[in-house]
Amino acid sequence: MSGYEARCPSCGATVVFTLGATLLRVCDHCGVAIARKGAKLADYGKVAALIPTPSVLALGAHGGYEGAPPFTLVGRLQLDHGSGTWDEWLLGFRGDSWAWLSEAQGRFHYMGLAALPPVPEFEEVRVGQTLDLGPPGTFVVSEVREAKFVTAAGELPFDVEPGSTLRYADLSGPGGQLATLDFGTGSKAESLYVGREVALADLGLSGLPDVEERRQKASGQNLSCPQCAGPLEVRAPDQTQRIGCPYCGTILDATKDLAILETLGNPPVQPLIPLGSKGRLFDQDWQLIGFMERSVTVEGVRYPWHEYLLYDPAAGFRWLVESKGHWSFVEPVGAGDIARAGGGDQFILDGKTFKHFQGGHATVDVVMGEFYWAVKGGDQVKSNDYVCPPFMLSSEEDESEANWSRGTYTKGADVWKGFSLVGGPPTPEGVAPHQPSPFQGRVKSTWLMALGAAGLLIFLYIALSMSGGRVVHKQSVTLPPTALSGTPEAAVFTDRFFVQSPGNLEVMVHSPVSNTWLYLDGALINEETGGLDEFDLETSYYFGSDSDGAWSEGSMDSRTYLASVPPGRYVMRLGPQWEAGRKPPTFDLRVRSRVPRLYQLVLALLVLFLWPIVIAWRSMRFESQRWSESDHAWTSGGDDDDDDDDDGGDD
Amino acid sequence: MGGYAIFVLAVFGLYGWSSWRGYEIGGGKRGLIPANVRQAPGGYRSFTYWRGGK
Repeated sequence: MSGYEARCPSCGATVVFTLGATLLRVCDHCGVAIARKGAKLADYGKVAALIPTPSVLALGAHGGYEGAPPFTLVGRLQLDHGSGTWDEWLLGFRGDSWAWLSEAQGRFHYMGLAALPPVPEFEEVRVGQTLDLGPPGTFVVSEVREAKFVTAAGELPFDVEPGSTLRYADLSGPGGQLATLDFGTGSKAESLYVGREVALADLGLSGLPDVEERRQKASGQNLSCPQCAGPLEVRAPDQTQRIGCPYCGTILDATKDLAILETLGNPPVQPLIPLGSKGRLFDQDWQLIGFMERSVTVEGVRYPWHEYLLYDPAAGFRWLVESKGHWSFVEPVGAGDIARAGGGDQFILDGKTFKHFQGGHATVDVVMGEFYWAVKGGDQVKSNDYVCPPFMLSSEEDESEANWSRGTYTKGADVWKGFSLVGGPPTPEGVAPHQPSPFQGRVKSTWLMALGAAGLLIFLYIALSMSGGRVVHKQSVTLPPTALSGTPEAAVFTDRFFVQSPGNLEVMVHSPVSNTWLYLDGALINEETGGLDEFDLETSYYFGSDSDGAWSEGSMDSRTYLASVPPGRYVMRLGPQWEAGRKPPTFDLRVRSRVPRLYQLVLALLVLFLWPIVIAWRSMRFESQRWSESDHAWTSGGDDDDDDDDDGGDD
Repeated sequence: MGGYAIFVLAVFGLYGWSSWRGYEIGGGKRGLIPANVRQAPGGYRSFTYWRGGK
């Protein structure tokens, strides 16, 4: 690094600007901020003492990151946007280049300087806005704020007086990228930083106090509430900003010796999982350190839910959310990884499309335990939920910040098992917005299977038609010329015939009736067993013409089917009746065995489709119940939500 | 799906079996010509059992 050495204009001590690019230096001896103004130095006065933060870093520490030249922590900037102080560390590389390492809520973001593309002025930047940052890609604005330059130590790359208000916008990009647009104290962007979240271990830092040792030492601190003297156990002291007393509801500032911030009163609810519980969920160990009750009020009705803050030093923070006995495991998602679709009512994350479910204003009602941000009772954000079972994508935003998270529906039994809780979870009420349908994927697959089976059934019918229907008897019958209709003398017996295989028999008669009828009182007689199957057959055919033209009705053919005729030697008795004076002289008889029946095929097809119809109906009922609690209830003429569950995307 | 597969197999079996055996919905009950009629000369050909018809 190309250093620049000078005398402190206040105390005369030697001050060294280790980077050629640094413009501000805090004198190590007198604490005065010294700005480089060309060849001269300006005295900005004494800076405030550093605010105690749970930082694990220290000036002078060395490290290296992803093949970049080794760096040294040469500057520390403390900022505050009204909800707590955080640290920005200046990494000085060999060769005078530099980057920022942001440290907040136990998370680190490595941010390198990038070319600044044309971007809107600060006043025109809005949360949720999409900005093209050139080579880094398209980013979504997640935070737009002003922060106070509280104090600093070491050196900084800009010339701004401590106490100034700095403007910035944080953005989220694809693949977990982050960006910060630095507007300085004005309206125009002065610089762009692009980077990503990094683990402390990835920075290869040396010269730091043992982080784990500090954490262990600090964890499990036993304090007491200054309001009610109730015992408080601090489980994540290096992260905690606020503590909600579980006994009196007072919210305490964990960064300022448990100063009382507000009193919410005795908590009206108690967490189902005790604070401090340790458990394992989603292959990760967690400790439950905080509990909140939040709610939305719609048309005068308050809908509360409960959020449990989970913490692990390595994995960070997650949420376990319980609403009406339904549980979700919630993790943060970068806005840059989410794409808008469907006219803004849908979003895509990891290839899954999330449909808007409901929106509202979520209010913090009860706070217990530890929180990594400056939570307040009555905090309100605009919230929107989007669902793609078993996931729910949620956005929470206010004027200056937007946060996205993804919840995964989790069975209460799994939560109970994960935390080794006694008893059982509460029984879920109704259907949760992102509860997986028990019919997930079954509707489509069942219909496909039904169609396949129907095809096979039709094929089977055709095969049976081709192999069956063998003619076992054929005869032209002449009626006795002198016999009277319906008399025993008129009855005729057919020739003997044989049925080879068990099955039905089709008996078909063709008689040349013309404007008359022929009725046959028939009986199939098994000569071997005496078995008797009786049947009726009638042919009638009429025709003529009237004012509408020619007409005809009936048929010269008639057939009937005899069920389950066993093999054997048969004869048929046919007792004919006819219209007086119009006896047909003959009729033709044909007997076929094993004739497939079309009505049986139709019945089988109906039965086959009964199952998928029932499944589809039950699926629709489940989805209707799910969406009944949404802003798009089907009963109120819902829009495009009448798809079945197969839109879930993960069938 | 397993349940439906079994259901489909059952429908196939029922359809195939009823087609093969020639079952008919509402199929009439099989009667029996008395043994003495069958054993008598002329047998059922002169049997006065036959009903009157239409």
